[in-house]
Amino acid sequence: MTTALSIPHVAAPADRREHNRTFTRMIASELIKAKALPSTLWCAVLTVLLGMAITAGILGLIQHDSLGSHPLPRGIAVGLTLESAFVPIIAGCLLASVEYASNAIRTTLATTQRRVAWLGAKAVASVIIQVITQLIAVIMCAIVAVTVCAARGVSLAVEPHQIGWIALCVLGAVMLHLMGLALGMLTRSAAASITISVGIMWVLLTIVDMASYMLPWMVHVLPAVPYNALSALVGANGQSEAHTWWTTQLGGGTVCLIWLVVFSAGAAVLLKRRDA
Amino acid sequence: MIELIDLTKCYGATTAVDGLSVSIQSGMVTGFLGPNGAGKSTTMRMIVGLDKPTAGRVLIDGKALIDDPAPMTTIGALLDAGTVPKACSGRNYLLGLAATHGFGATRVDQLLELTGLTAVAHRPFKTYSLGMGQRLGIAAALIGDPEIVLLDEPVNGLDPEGVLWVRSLVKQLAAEGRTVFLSSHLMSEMAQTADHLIILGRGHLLADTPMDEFLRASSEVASRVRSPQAALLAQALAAPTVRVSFEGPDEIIVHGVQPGAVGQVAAQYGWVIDGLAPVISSLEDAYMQLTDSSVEYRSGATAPQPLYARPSTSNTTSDKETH
Ligand SMILES: Nc1ncnc2c1ncn2[C@@H]1O[C@H](COP(=O)(O)OP(=O)(O)OP(=O)(O)O)[C@@H](O)[C@H]1O
Ligand SMILES: [Mg+2]
Repeated sequence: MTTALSIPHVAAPADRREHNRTFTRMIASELIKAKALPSTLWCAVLTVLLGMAITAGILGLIQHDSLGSHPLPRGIAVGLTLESAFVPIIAGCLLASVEYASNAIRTTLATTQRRVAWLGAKAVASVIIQVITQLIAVIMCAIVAVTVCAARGVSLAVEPHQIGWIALCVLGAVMLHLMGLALGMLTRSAAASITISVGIMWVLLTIVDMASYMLPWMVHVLPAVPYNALSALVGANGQSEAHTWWTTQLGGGTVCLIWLVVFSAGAAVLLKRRDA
Repeated sequence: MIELIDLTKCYGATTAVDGLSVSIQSGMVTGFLGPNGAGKSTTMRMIVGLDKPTAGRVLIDGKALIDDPAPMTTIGALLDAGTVPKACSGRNYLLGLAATHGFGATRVDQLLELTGLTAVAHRPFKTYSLGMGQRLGIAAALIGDPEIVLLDEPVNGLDPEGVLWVRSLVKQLAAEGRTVFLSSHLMSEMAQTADHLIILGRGHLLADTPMDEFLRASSEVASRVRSPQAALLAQALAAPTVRVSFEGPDEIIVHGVQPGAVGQVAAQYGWVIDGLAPVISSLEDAYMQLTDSSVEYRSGATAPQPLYARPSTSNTTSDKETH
């Protein structure tokens, strides 16, 4: 390897102020880092492909006369969010734990110093990537849906006012993603954070569900389970469930938000306190 | 300038650094020495705020680093090489770090050039050799053109050209008025690089002194003499406090006598002196002398016992024969 000795200088000391660390710059940095990781791309591709497969599967197998009863945007968005919920949450876990797996966190924190602000910047960058991924997924799913329905000779109802549903579903995916990120920061390990995510999202659902058969009062706990809250948020709650405020979209969104805030606050406090 | 004020770090029952108070001056290379586990890396991590001190504090130019609006231009650190995600290329890694302070691709490419990594800049980090990783770490430390450079064992894994390069680089950084603080276990390297030494042993400060003073203080009075009359000279110098060792037929080392005194005796008798010099102990000798009692992880003095006895050629009694 050949090396040079003259160290290129940045600027005169007075110009150094142009090189302050700012929140926006930290976001830009996190976007560059995320883009450089293959796991970001793979998670995005998986989100899109899974959405397309689910859409094609549902619309291809559903009975002919049921087709069209779910107006297009909502049906796709809800399916996408619930069936592929594990992708954004695992993507979040990976984005956080890769910092620890490689020890890059040390360089990152030594460079940025403001730990909580850095975590905020990372969260914003993750949200940007997640929103873009989800929107691409919705568009691709819509194309698949129209194609499948056209092949079956049905034209799907596209109601513009239901675009709002897509926004809710993207919101759901983003919250899941941030929850994964927080768990990754808390556990500092990909394996641990993914295990806990799956536990909280799906195992907890099964346990509370079964327990509610034996202990009737557990029914009231059901809306607090993250998966149920997510279903409520995207408006996919079954008809049989007890209807309270917690099972409305706003209620579901609030429960999701509470979980997210608890995990994020824990992640921020530990990040600030612990040795890196 | 870095000031450590009564800095202490405990990990559970282990006290890694114990009441360390030193200041590391700008414009020179300060070497950081100490046996394994002495607390060097821990001290460096506390300087950049990664580990929280149990007690005491660190001031960088009189302020806490966390209040610095541009930490990257104040301090650049290579703490452990290889803190890069495996799949990330060296260039992307530097780009990500540089972006936190608004530095762009031009700056990153300059540093890749400086560290000789341009050719491998786009390769994923997992394909880098140990030395390449070390160079990337040095590049990362220098992105912000920092006032203070902290390097923890920077020559670890570097080839001879790389070692020479790091030596010249840190000397130049210091000559530019920056604070350079580096740790290394390579004594010969440290002797050629550092102007000042800070030595730790089991978390305690053992020495904080200029390099030449340290070497002088730990050298006993001794003279190396080359003369055709070396044997006669040894006799003439004989005294209870003087010890002479023969290095060759006409070369002796006289312990306990200054070179000047040797010269005077030779002049008295009219003997020829071909060479006369004070004996200065090497940094390694001086360091070993100082840290002898603080070495925690000492290697065994004897060779390890073999797991299986080898067939012996000597005729010692074997188990069978005793029956
Ligand atoms: N994160 C940690 N948790 C517990 N103990 C630690 C931690 N980091 C360091 N130590 C302990 O602190 C002491 C100092 O370690 P440190 O790494 O600072 O030594 P060092 O001087 O850098 O040694 P070396 O020359 O081997 O690099 C050691 O006893 C080590 O075991
Ligand atoms: Mg160390």
